[in-house]
Amino acid sequence: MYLTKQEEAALTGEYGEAVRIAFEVIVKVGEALGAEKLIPINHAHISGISYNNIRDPGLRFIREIREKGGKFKVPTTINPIGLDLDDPSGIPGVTPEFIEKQKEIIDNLTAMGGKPVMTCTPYYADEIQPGWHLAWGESSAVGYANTYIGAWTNREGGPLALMAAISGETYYSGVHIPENRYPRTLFEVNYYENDQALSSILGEIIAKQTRVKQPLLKGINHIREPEVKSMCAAAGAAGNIEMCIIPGITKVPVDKDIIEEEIPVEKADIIRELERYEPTSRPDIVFLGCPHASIEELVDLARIAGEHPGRAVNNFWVAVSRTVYNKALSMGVIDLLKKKNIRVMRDTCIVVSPGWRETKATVATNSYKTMFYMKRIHGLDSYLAPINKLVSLSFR
Amino acid sequence: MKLLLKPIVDTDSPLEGEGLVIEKPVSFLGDVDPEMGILVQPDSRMNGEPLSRRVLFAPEGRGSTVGSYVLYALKSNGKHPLAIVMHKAEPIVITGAVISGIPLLEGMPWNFYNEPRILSKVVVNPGGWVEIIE
Repeated sequence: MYLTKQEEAALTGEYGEAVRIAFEVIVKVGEALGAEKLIPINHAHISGISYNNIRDPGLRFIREIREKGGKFKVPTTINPIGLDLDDPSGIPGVTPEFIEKQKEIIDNLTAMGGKPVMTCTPYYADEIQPGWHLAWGESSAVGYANTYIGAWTNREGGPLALMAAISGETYYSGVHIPENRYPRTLFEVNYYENDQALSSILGEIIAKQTRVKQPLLKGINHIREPEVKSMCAAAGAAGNIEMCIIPGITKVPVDKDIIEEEIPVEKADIIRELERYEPTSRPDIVFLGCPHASIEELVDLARIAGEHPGRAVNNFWVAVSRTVYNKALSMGVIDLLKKKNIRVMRDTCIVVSPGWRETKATVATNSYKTMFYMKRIHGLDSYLAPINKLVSLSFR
Repeated sequence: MKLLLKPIVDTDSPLEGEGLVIEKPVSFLGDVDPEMGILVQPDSRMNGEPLSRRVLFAPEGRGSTVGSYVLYALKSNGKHPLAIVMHKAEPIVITGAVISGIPLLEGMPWNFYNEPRILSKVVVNPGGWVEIIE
């Protein structure tokens, strides 16, 4: 790999031990992927933050980097944690020890310069410009950045994003290279309606069938922002898709396409999946906001809830970033939702929070990603449905 | 069978153990329990199989970017596979292998992963030579 004099110096430890480790990891990963050089990044987003996921080994890793002098060189955001710091109620595995360890992780990251907004939607917390190079963990945000914003990032492992925040650089490979953003699989989507549960099913189908990246999606030109977000989240969880190409939204020259395979997606494919995951009775928990909801989604939820005469009689939760929470609070949306017994959570999400396995609770959501991980990580019966269906099952 | 693969994280000395072959791409977050060191892929015949002291064969990585930390946790807990052999490695697995020092090789043909199974003996040598006895 070609390295500048400064990068060489960093590798020999001239800028301290944390910087040396950061460059070492990035160069090793880059060399493995055939990168010819490193490039500067504008922003980093660090995943692997929840104590429930990374436990003591992850905590130790992050603490050691901070102790060795780690400082973030670029604006850096961090992923959701295992609880809402202002209201940890309702999450079964949150013990004083858990809170202490979780706070230690956050304190180490903010001490290095991380922005204390714990969210999987860094693009609502910081303004991300099209054309920026990023080093983002959090697969849903990666998909969103490449597909919707037109920023450039690979799916980085949590520790690599941490290293890139410190070095301010990442390896030049994958979708940082223009040619690797051109579509090679075409999906002719013959049925699509704007709904986040449906678009996340589409994301699942795409992820499971894409053999050569990147997928080009025809027939969904009318897709809206929330549905792009849900689709990218599902595609990132079910497979290893870092971007989709949607004509009219994704800034990639489609005329230069080199399509190697064409796959039709029929109405029956989508309906079959939706029916397979559909809840038939009232779930113990409804969880929305995976990825974290935007202010527009919260307003929309308040409208749908308002149209029902009743209120939720189960745990009906929606997760957001602190940025969105504060805005919603000032607009009165939090109160509107509270009147319908809908709780708006900050900092966290059900997937990365602890203690669910023993509860045997049933969970329903409008996010394929949540359904997938609640089954996989927590072993709970999990279902998927559009919001209005979840409201009608949960309200009385 | 003896093959030359591409060592991404090389081993210093030969490693020997059973092989565990899974047919689906692996997300270390969700598909692996880092404390017990076992595979959690309910729809796979290899569900519940331990990774420890075995060479893990998985076609590629997928899913959560937290997977790198799960590899690191496996190593910290002493439940890590001896080595990982993939058709194609992606950044999340590579990062996990680099920070935890677990040998990682790529270049195994896709069709090797068609049938989930336990291999009776696998030797991973420095430089990428892998010997497999079914």
